[in-house]
Amino acid sequence: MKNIINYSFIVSFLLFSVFACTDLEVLPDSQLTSSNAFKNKNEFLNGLSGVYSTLGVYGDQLFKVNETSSDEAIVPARGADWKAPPLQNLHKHTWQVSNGEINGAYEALSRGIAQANIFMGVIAESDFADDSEVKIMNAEARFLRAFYYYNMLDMFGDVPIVTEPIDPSDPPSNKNTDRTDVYNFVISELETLTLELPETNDYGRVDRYAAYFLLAKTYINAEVFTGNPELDKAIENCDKLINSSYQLSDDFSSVFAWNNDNNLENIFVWRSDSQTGNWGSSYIIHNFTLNQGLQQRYGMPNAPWNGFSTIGSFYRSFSPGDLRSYIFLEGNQLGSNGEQLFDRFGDTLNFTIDYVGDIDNATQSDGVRVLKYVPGGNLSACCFLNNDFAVFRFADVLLMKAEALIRKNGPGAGDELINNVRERAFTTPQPLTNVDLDELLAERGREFAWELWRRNDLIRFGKFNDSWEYKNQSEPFRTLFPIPQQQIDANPNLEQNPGY
Amino acid sequence: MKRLVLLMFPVLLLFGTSLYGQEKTISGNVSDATESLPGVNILIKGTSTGTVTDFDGNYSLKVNEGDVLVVSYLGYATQEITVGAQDVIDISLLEDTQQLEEIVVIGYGTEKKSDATGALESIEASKINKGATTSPEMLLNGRVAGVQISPNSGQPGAEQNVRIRGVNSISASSEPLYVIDGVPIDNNRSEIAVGNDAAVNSSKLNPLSMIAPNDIESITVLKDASATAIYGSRGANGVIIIKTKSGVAGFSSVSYDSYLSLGSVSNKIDLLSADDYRSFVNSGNGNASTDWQDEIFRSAITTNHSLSFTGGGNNTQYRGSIGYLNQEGVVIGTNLETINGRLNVNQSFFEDRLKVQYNISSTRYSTDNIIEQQTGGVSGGIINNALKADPTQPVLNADGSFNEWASQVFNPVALANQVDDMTEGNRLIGSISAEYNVLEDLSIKVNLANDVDNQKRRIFQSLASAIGGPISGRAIREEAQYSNQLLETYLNYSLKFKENSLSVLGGYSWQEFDTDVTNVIATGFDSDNLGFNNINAQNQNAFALKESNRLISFFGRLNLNLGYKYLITATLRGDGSSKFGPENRWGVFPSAAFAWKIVNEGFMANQDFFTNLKLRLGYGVTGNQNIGNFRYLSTVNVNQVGGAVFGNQYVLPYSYTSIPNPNLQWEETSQFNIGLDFGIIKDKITGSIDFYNKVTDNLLLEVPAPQPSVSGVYLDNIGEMTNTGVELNLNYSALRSKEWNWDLNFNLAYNQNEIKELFNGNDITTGVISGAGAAGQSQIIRVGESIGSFYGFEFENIDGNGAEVFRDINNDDIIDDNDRVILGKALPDVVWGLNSRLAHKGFDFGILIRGQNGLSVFNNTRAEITQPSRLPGQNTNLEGAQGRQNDAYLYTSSRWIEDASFIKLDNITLGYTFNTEKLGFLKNARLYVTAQNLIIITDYLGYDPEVNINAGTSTALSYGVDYTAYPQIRSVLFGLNVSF
Repeated sequence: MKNIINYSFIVSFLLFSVFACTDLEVLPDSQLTSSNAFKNKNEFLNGLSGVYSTLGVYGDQLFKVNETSSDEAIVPARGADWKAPPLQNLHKHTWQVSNGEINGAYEALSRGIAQANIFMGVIAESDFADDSEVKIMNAEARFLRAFYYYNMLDMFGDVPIVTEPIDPSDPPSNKNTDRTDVYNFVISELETLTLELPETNDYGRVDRYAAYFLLAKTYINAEVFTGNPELDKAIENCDKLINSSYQLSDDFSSVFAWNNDNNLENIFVWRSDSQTGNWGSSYIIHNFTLNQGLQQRYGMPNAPWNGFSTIGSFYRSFSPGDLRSYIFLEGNQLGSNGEQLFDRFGDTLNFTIDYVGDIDNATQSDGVRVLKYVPGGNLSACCFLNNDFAVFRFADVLLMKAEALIRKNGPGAGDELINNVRERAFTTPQPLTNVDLDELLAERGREFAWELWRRNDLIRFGKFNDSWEYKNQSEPFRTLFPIPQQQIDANPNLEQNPGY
Repeated sequence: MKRLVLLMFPVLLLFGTSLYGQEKTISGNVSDATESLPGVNILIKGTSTGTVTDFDGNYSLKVNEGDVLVVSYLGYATQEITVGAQDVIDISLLEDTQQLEEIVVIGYGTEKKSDATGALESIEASKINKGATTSPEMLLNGRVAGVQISPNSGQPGAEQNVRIRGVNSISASSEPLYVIDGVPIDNNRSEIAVGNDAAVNSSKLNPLSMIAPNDIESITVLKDASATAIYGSRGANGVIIIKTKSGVAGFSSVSYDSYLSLGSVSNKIDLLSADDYRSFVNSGNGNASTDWQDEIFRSAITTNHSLSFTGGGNNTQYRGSIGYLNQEGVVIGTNLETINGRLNVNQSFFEDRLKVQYNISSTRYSTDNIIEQQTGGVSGGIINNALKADPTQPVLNADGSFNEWASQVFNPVALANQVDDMTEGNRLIGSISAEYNVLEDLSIKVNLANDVDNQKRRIFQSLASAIGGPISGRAIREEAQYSNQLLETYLNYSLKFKENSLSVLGGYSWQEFDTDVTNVIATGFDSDNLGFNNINAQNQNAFALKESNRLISFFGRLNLNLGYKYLITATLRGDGSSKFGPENRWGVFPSAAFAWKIVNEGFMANQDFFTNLKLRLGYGVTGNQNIGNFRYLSTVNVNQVGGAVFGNQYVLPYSYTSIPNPNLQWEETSQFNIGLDFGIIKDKITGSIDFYNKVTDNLLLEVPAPQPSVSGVYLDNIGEMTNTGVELNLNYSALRSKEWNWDLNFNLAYNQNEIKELFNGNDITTGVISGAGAAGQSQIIRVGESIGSFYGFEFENIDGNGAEVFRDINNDDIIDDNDRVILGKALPDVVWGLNSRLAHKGFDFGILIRGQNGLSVFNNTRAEITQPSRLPGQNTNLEGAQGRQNDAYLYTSSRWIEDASFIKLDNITLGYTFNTEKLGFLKNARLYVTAQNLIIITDYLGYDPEVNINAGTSTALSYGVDYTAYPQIRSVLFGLNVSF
């Protein structure tokens, strides 16, 4: 009996050991993997949503870098608040290669490119690669990638062109490319996309006119990017848009209002909805600029951050009566019931045109604030607005064409187009005459304030290195940002831009 | 579970009864060679009937003729005596030197301490003054060389950071593996995910706080690789083995332990008083004088009751216990309450050939939490706001409502009262093991265990509160289940031939860990009436996470003992982990150790100076796999928010957020250890000294990813670091007599960490700086330096204009990034502890003093408080008030890096044990008073130099950063133990 027990123990032990489970295949339960994702056609819309969500970069990292390095925005240190040399150095044009803000922009753009690459790779390998709707989604992802590469071209110049997911152990190089290659890549992608993108699309999704716009934008900057102007091609693409159903809105502020959905002036929007999501999660420009004391006035659930303002010279470039100056919060601030507002230290809230302090030690109220996108509608969590951000808009089409005409034919050649845009800015129209490039640059500043075009404009008009408040004349090489040191550390194949 | 305990009690009690036949009463005296022995167990074999000798060694017992008496006493050989015709049986016991030896618990077994070849240390709970301990690992503090514990927070039940022999990893966790009664447990708990709003942050609950310290018999710390390699891929950070108490044959008793403690904060931070504040700010002040720290701190009361029952006969022994703990935090609104029940049963069958052991414990716990935001943000938590709040403002308005006077400073008392935040849960750990002796020398053991922790969190930020108001209230409900299932089977074979012995262990283990979390966040309430119990509000967001990982292992150990002189241990473990890709799942972890008992050599035979002298050498390879679950795999996140609206349709986004690395592998630590155990002058002095060198390579490191990629970093096996150190453990029996017993223990550990290799040699920064307007990082991980090194500018002085002056390191007359240097390190050179236990007659007196040297802490709290721009509106200290108006001081300078060396009088206990000889029913009664954390000698200016908030980045953990950390408690405790 005892032996039977013994043997049965031994036998069962050995059996157990021999057949011991060695199955280690454990897959995620709350995430998808390639084995179960994108098996249905409707999932591609989810994938596309994921790619569009990378547009959040526009209101955060790209905004900070492109705006504060220009003459329309500044982030001063307000005591301990916002005391961050990388931000102040952007305005002073003294940024270093390790500037975290610049790296943030580089990485955020890269994130968008990578998401698009993965999504397009998924489509190519799926059963739906030839489906007509999925093909449009593929084109949209490809457009977003071209848009991010356009920004790379504009900000960093020479970057590696990567069109599929990369293997971290075999990093790409930019040694065999130059800025012209990146330019050519963007142009050829966009030319293809004008055929692949649809004539119209759902609101919030790009159509072929977004590609025409970006072609026009790339061509108008061609001289900066490659040394060779392409003004006729810029005009040609502007004309495609002028002949489309996109048009100027009668009311300037409605273009940016919280209920600006389907506004025909907006060709490409970064769409935001406070309740359901916000394409990223970084719609924070209003938070950047508003003082904490203004929280109640705009019905915001969380206190804003009191950082960014504009500078005096930019504020003064607006003439009295210009309706576009609704964006400025200047002087003493009152609440919605007319009561005096205070900053968080109990001082009256009174935004000054010129700084009382300076960029390294400003007061809480220093600087005029810029609120182009006024919060409205049902606001939920901290950083979400209902306003859709106008990334490309029709007014720019007209002013780009005007610019090309002036550059080709001299001052005055763009007057009609310029006044077309300017008309709605005044109750009684105040047309400009014989507009030259300097005046056009100023007009572009008034029209596109805080829409992320200023740095690009200043460079194209040759004014980026000039001095302005809290900024001295800067070196010419600063028209390109450095390839961030963090990127060179991560990928020694990268080559630094000249001058850095 | 509680029902199960109740059901089992009657069953257990049945074992206690036995049948009586022809009875008679025998009596006698039990003694050894020199004196009578009190407290000797005498048991009738096969029953649970028995008695214990009295103070004079006498006993009497009702028996039947032919019964066999089993006489046992700790330290003596057990005797069996058959009752004959006689009525008086005097018994003489012989000392058993073998049995006297300390037995230590090791991985998959036990061994005699004297036969140990690895570096391990064990503490017996009965020999230490526990004080008001809520979590077992805290008992190691100052008692075991090489263990450093730094609390994340002083909140009751908060997580502790435990490091054995330094820090081994940069991106992965350096927490040791915990094994409770043979069950490796998982302590990872997810943090509540509420998007980018940190308003619910608070300390994570320590899963070990669910083990009642009173139930613990011993804690063993396995330190070197030869001891931990049997745990393979989880052994690199050391292993802590906790053994709970079980029943003893023939000894039945009921014990009751209780204490009451009163605690307060040990220290307050210097700030301007209301009058000082008024002298600097003359307008906009309130009329009150409020010390906001006093308003949020309180005298905290802790009560603890525990009741245990133990008993059993030769075949069955049990111990059951039930405990209750209610510990108030020193900050208002914080509390920990636990109720736990445990039942350990040992049962043997077939003449002891089959032994079955059940351990089951259930803990119900609940905590009250506060917002204890430790990083980032300007809104801050309760402590942050108490340090910020204007001292001229009253707590309450005249109408009794809370005073809120500014948009960026919240009334901390209101925050604590208006936000309801609690965690509640039940953790059940049950295991059953069966060991069968197939042959005398061959046994098979099967071990099954289940560990389930069901946790729920409830938060309601009321409409009245400053943080809930703007969003019309917020409710959060989270349900989480963390579970782990274990199946182990192993085989033990031992063989003796002449003076040599061999034992072999071989086994298989399967363990799976599951996490299952759901939470719902609702905002937009119309009233506070229903709190978090009805979440039908304007907006709701829900989230769920379920994931698992599995570890499958084969392991073996061989012990060879040659002539009582040479001991050889070899272990091998093959681990397969689902955390890694199919190509890299299996790893092999070997170790070998050799010990030489020099004292047993012939040439030592003629000396009596050394009673023990043993040299140990060991080398082994262990791993660390404390990383997330699917880092090798490309995963697609299905998110609710952040997606796009196409037309009128919101579309959930699929997004890729991490870069898979199919080549991932374990981090590997190779450790060499050489140690000497000794005992001299008849063991009056015993101790050990160990030297070790640990090399950790293939570090699991988040390295910068080449772009364009979906993430800025990816996890790879890159880099190397070393820890080199010495550990000393000395015991001195200063006095040993019938009336006096005095034992001293001194332990000391010295450790140096050095980073040897990093990705492309690039520095890594971590230690995120917090505070209004703060940015950047305080720590650098750099080749050639210790992990946890602080980095920044060297502060010299404040110049005549009030500006900070920093040292121009490179003498280029510009202070820029190139002038930054290493400013200190957060890891101590030396950690030491001194324990003294003195007993005289009924009195016992114990002291634990411990300290650390050669470490710094970044006092981020002081850096923020001292900002001159805090005035007016936010309180500051004198230094800040005297600064230039609206000025900002640099956070990244040596000005805030403080020497955090300290000496602490950690525990001092005076107890008296009553003479209960005359009271037959009362076995033992002791009253004691303990003071904890009584004195700290340190230059550190924060609440406590032992601090380590979580200021890490996604790349690297940080060490020694203090930012408004919950302060440690100082307490006085009155306790009572009685047993019947």
